[in-house]
Amino acid sequence: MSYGRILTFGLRWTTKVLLVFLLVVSISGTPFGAIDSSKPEFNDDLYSIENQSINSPEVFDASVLSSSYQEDNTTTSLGLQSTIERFVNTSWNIKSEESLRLEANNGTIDWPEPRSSEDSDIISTVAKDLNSSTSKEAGIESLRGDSSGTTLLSDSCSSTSGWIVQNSWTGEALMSEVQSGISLLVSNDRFMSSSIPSSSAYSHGGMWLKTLTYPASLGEGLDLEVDFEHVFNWNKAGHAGVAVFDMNDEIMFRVHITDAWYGSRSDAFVGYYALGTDTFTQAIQKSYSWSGTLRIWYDRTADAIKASILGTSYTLVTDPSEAELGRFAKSVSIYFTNKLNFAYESKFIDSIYLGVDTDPDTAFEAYPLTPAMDGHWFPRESYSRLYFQVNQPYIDTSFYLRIKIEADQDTYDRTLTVTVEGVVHYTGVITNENGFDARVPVWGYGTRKVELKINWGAHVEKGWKLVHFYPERANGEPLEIVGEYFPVANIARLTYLARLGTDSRINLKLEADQDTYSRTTRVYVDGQLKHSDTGDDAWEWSLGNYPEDSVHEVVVELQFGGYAQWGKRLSINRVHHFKGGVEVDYMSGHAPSQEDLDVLEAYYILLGYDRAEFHLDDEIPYLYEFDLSTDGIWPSSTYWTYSNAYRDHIGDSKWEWLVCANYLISNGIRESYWGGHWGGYGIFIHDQLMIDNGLYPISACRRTIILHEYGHHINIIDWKPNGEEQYCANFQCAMASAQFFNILYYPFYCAHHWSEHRWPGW
Amino acid sequence: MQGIPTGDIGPTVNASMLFIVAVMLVLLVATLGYRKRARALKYWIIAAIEVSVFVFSWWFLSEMASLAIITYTGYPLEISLIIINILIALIFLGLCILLTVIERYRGTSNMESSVHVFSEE
Repeated sequence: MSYGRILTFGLRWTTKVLLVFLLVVSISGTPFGAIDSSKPEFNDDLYSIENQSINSPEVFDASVLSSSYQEDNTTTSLGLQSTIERFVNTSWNIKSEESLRLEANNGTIDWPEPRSSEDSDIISTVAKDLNSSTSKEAGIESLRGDSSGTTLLSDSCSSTSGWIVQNSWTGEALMSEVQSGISLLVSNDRFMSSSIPSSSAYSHGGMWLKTLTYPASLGEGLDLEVDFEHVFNWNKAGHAGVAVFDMNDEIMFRVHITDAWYGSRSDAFVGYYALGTDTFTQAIQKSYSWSGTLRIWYDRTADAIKASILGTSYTLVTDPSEAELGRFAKSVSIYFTNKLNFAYESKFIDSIYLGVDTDPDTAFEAYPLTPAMDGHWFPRESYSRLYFQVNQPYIDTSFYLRIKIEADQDTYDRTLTVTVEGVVHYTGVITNENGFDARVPVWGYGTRKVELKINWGAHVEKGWKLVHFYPERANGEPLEIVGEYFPVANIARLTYLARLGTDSRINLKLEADQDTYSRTTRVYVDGQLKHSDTGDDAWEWSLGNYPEDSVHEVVVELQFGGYAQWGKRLSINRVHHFKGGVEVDYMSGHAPSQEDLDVLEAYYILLGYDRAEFHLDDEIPYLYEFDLSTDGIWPSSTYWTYSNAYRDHIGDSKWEWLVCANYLISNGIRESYWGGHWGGYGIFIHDQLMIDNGLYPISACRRTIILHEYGHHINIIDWKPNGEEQYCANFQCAMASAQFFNILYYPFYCAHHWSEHRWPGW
Repeated sequence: MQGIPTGDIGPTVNASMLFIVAVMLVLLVATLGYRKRARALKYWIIAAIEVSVFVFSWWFLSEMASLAIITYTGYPLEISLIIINILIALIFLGLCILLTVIERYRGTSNMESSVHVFSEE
């Protein structure tokens, strides 16, 4: 082959390689540039409502929703995204001194204490008088089915399968001596034991263990409920119990019954076994034969470990520490014991239930707070109307309006009419007893004006109240609330029940629709004028400090609102209070943008009344590699140097420290993760590693990782049995491991993970 | 939850890995195409589409493998990462073999003439 032919061969070959490569680049495009995660896909999920009459609202069925959800949702929902965008892109006319407060290095911020003594009493009284039926359970939580919780173990005691006998238990002892050769038996769907051999041990018998497939923490509302049956038999004794063990095989919960061999006495015990040696127990003395339920649980609303023995309730521990709440239940044990060489007769265990009250459903994204807040009264008018505008941006044929209305002071049945764009979609009698709780199907897409009308509504001042309103897709995905209109009245008032707390604020954005004149907007809390301003504008107003999560009447008033029916629209109406803060310290070139932090703040405000503030704080000295631990000593001296010099809120668990570093190493080895959360120490972002990856926009990476790690700070986490993090099975949830499904400009939590949140420090 | 570290791992595939995989697949396709003396533009366009699809497939399958291992297995993180890396390599090898088989048996519009030219030589 001549040189010329070799050259031609080489050139042709190279040309072809280049041609194919360039075609690959032009066809694929994205692998060599950043993908745009901000653009969610439209989908053409055509949901049929042919079997539903327009006047037959569908009763909520979570199972239907969850089964259809995962198939067609591929990115952040459009409703959620546009609501956050609207919030972030609004220029706020800020009238809140706290918002302007700057942080200084090494200076802690003294959050104003909630009003104490007289003031708080007055506020509390007002709050209680507003409506006795108001409770956290009455709002969206019950609608989303949170109260059902997750079952970790449910045993009707009809089979012994899965219970492993423990002959050499090394964990915390339930008895003086664990004996072998004792059988677990089933008798009429009850557990009992075979005879227990005599022993010199004070308490001896057998125990059986079941390891939970899904470990859960006490803080998730761990709940143990056991039905016992005690059959009295003269001169016979026997004890039975159920215990929950934590990751270290130490007892957390224990419920048991004991039988004195003398007389007819027996006792029922429940106990919480705290870290260390403290135990908190309660007991009830019974006689002769009896049966009943013993229960012990962590009440997340009251922040207390409670117990119930045969119907009598007790509070065992109030305000348990974070370390206690972070304990994970790993296994459940049943045991039957006897004392010394007494004549034994087995007691019975009828059923065992262990669960948590967090939402089991990872398929849903967390639902935003309804614009009805904790209750939104219909105005006192003959034809009492509330007006909303909603948006359905998908190419779906229909969507739903989920509406829940309850009677308040009105004692009569009334007629509810739901009108969409002037067309009646539902009309029917709502009874004083049941109110209205259903979803109304609506055809079409785009923005829709919705009118909810009750007649007659002039009987009493606060006759009826809306407790939930949200547009949603057939699969349950929340759509967008474009805004709420003011009623047609000279002084038009929107009256809500809202939860206030430390540094409460309201964000309002007033827009003109059919009324283009300048009007005056006022905000009242419990009848006190807080702020007012004139014109179409967006305001962030401080409402003051109130007892944490206390319910108050918030009124947004427009003067004059009688000009047109669809005159002025509140496109943003959010009430929130301080719940957590994040101090963001960053190395040069690794600061998240203010918009990144604003999106995260807006997301938490969207979900509820609790505000997490993200403050871009100090630029910290650059280190190519930030050493987290050296020679096994954790944290490293570098950590302490930086922490002492730049962390402003040491010891305040309301505040988290976020360090955006170049690379993170420990013991000289670069860590493989993108971000990490260490309880009490802070959140560390491996920022350069994200930039190095190059496949995703760094902004989306930072938002997702911060939402994930801050989620851990507010106690959002599932655990594997080996003690490592169980990532979310919904790959779009921010609590899944980071990858292309969840690295989003608008990351979100699934309903399950959001239901686990518990703000530390309160 | 004091003192419990929870690291959040990110995607194991990065842009440079994707680039290398694309280059390797392009070389593979070009070599096989040259062996067939393929000259038709249509042949090379289809080859380019194949490579694009295979690069995306490798990315997608690698991510899915990582997710499955991290989410659904109980291995410690270090072990999971080793398994993931092995899986990613196996997925690449599998796709290479598949691509080779496809290219080996894919005809070209100029195949006959190529053979003819070859026989003339």
